Amino acid sequence: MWCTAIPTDLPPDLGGRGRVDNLQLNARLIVKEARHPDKDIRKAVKDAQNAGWNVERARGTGHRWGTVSCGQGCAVAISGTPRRPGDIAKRIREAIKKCDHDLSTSNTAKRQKDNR
Amino acid sequence: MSTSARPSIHSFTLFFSGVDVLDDQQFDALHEAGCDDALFGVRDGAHYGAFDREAKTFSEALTSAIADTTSAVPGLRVVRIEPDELVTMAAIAKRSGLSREYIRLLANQQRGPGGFPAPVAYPDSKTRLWHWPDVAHWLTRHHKAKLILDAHAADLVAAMNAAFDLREHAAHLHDKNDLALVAQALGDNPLIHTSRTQDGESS
Repeated sequence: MWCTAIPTDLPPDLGGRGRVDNLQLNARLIVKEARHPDKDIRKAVKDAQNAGWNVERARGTGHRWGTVSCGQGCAVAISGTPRRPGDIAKRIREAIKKCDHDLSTSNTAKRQKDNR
Repeated sequence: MSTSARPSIHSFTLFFSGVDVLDDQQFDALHEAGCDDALFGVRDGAHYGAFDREAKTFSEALTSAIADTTSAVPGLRVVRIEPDELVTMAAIAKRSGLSREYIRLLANQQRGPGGFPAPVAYPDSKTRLWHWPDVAHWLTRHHKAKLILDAHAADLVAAMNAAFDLREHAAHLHDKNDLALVAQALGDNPLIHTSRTQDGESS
């Protein structure tokens, strides 16, 4: 039953959405935390994905958690430990809103919608 | 005034040149210099940091953000501050909390006491741009704004942006006469005396 507490919004490289088996759980514990530690930022990142933006996790050991980009010229670097995550989440949404690039060529938005 | 000022969050965006904010090393340097209260990003090649900075005054927040970023990454220059001083009618409405239609009537002198600042630029036939400090001062004076407008912050941002522009453009001018003409345009400005005094002290 404890498995139900595992979040199901894992990125595809860690098994994608849906159920998580023990192997994937181990992978998730060994590999760096896939989700952003802050709830507000997780929501903002999800909004970005729903708007057709891509999430690229940082591979290094620095402060950057990852970069979210529209693929046509907009990108924001997200810290793993921002001072006030709520403000950063707001700023991420602002960046998505300000993006006026045509993302219709990417199927990500549609795919995200179908997945919900 | 300053004794009663309590820290609050000031929001503004700095645009940079000479930095790649998506680069891990430079991102870490900015983060460690105290800029973990900013979201760094790129839009069409323009690198920026969107700050929500806690400070007693807007000037203080701006000063520390510029100091932090320029000390973190060698070669980084702040080239612009937003909110920009050039505003459309829609932006005036948004910043003042008044309706767009009411702003239009004020600008056309059909409402209000008259004397609404004239637009300063016409980028195309359908767009008019106003200088935000002019508008903020006018709205403050006539108590038309629903929000408390910081006319001082508007003046500071406009002057800083003008200084950044001057620095960038003057760097391309090498002719003595050209530079003299630019200096002359500044007139008998207290800024010139300030920088001269500082030069004299340092040498």
